[in-house]
Amino acid sequence: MRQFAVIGLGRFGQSVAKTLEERGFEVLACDSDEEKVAEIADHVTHAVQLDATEEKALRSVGVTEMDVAVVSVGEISSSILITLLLKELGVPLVASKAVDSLHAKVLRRVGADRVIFPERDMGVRVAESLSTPRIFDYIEVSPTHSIVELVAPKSFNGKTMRELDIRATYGVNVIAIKRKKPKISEEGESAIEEEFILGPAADEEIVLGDLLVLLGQDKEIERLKEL
Amino acid sequence: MRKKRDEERSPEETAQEHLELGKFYFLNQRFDEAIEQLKKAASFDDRNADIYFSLGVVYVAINQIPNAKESFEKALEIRPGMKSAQEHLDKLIGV
Repeated sequence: MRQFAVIGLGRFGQSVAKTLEERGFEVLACDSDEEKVAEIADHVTHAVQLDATEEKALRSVGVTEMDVAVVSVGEISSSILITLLLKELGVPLVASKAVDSLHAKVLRRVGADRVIFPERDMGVRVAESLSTPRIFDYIEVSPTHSIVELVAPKSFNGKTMRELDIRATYGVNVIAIKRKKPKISEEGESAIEEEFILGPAADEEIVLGDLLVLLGQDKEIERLKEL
Repeated sequence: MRKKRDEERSPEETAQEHLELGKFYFLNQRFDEAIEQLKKAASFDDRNADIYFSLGVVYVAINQIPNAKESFEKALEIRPGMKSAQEHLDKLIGV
């Protein structure tokens, strides 16, 4: 089983650690702050208080055995030093959180395999979904391509994927359809069951309320948003 | 049993009929008609939390989130602590 170390237990680090543990991985969570370690102790495999800028301390908790290390330390110089040490200790994949582009550049120089910008990325996602009410979620996959969840344009309702031929017409791929199926619960209340149709077939018909999960070039997605 | 004539029914009973009809349309994915019936139901009885709850669910189904929030809030105003309405509203906060 893959083993993960999460160093730095602020809100981001905690969330990463808990999610990994929930997915069934072994997680070693570390922070220099004893309170933060105590807070997460019940949610992860191991929780340890240590100064991760010291090589000895890292070795002593078995960081060298880890497959992946996530560095989510807010203080820039510590985050750089820890990233460097982890790479030197031979951790195969080190993902470090950056606060700005300069920090990111240095992290890459010292060997970070991945640099994460949680605030910037989340900011872009939130801005996209707020600025276009029909966009429910947004993930940038490259500077020019994104995955978005878009409410199906009204003109699509009642038409099949074949009739719409979205890829040929708009240059965008429909990865999935999220459909809300009405039902009445055991208590007699109106309720909704979410259906996820991955790779919809040609004869799949779009119905009112469908969300389309699209992958494509930003400018093509823009065209669809206008419909 | 003889069906009650319109003038014999209380507004609450009329509202209940429109609510049932609204649910029927909802179940058959006829969302616009469902909304029409539920709004009618509310016009006969604006103290029935179930009507606003159902209306909220229909709005969720067609992605009209602001309307959905408003409907669940109204349901909670009438019946504070209504679990199902609170659950839906909590889910919509981040949307």
